[in-house]
Amino acid sequence: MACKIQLLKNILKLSVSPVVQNIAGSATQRSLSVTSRCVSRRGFHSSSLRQGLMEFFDNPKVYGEDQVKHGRAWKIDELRIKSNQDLHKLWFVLYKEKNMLLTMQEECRREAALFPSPERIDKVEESMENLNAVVEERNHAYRELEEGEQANVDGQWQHTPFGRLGYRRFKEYPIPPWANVTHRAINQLPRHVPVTWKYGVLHREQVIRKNAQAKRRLLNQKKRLKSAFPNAEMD
Amino acid sequence: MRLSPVLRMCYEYSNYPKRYIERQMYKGSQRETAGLSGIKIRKKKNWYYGATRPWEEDNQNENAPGVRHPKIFLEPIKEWNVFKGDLVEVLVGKDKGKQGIINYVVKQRNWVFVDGLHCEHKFIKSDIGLRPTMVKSELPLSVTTDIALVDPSDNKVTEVEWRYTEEGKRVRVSTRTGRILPLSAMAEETRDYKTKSTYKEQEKDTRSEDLEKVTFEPKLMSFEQDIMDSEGIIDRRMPAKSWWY
Repeated sequence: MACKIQLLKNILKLSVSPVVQNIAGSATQRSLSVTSRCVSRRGFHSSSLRQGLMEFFDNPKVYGEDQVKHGRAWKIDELRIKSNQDLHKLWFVLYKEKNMLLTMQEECRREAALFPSPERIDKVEESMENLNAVVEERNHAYRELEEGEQANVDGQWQHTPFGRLGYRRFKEYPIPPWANVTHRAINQLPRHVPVTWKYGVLHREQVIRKNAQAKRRLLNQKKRLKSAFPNAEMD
Repeated sequence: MRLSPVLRMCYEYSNYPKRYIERQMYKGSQRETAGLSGIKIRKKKNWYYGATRPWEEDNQNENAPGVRHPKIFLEPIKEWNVFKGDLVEVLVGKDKGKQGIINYVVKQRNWVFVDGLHCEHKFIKSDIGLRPTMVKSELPLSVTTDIALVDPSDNKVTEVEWRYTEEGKRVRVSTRTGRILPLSAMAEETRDYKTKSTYKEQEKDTRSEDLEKVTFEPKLMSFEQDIMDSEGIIDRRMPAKSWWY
């Protein structure tokens, strides 16, 4: 305990010591002002429960239980009718719950105890994914209204230097495309470089073969099923 | 009604999210390092389904790396007519002609288990020194050939068909007598509730009034702008010009 207090004193000394102030006076002033503001906003806490770090742990009632009774995940349709503010609040509720569950999982692993109802993690994650999808939907619609369909295009189909078609996602650059030398060298090549022609032909042959194989396999499977179950209804 | 010796959980009864089932399924499968992206799980392509569920250890042992099973040909079924809690007649085996209630369904194998019928008796050695105990457990029955649904009006076997009532509800109807075969309450039952309406709300659940409340108002601003407005955050910084291509 004494050691801890000593350490705390040292830290305090460091943060308020004049030597530090001389080196970077403005920085320390800023840090001091930040701390004072924090003290004045002591009552600020958006969550209803104020348990400090114990919010990372589950209710002690459920320790050692086989199962924790709980509901289901939020469906996407239920989230669509909620306002942006509600979604914003819900996001943090879910985030805290997920943090709590992951902490409990780790703690149970450390203590070699049973973590009750691990499917809760999946349900919370599913809810968060659905929430993100709703927010993305709304922003998508807003962009389309403001800037037109062009605003939501995130990439384009183009031929690689090896002659194969691929989808390239757009990236953000500080300079326009005509000034970007590397971009032009990589992405604005002619469709087929003559050297890669023969590889293109070989690739196409491979694709045709694979498709034919898949088709044959499906047919054989159907034949075999028909011979095994002659009375079954099949498409 | 008696419970079978091993408490088996149907997919619907377990009420587990799909993602959890998959996570449990591939828990013991081989892992390999995949470059910089980290660890990749080698998922088995043709998963073997048996009388146990993928989240149970027995099924995972059946699918352990190196364990092989003969290929299974399943009869394609267009419409699934048989559910948990239905009264059926067994058409094969020692219990041929007897009627019983379905207590377990395995859709992946076209299997059903009838409560107390078509059983096997096994001696199981429990501990050293103790005498082995005899355990009775049901064997699987094929949905297409080994069982048939029973018409409640005359307790005889029928074929069924899905039709719509005048209210627009989809029901099973006996083709022989035209009588509706209602679904049992057991078909709806899960680990969490007997019926949906009798579900007891838990501490962390959202109340149904709050859930149904419509608070959405269409606004001509993005999500982030709306949140900034309501929180009183004003940002007058101009972003530097950039190009997306």
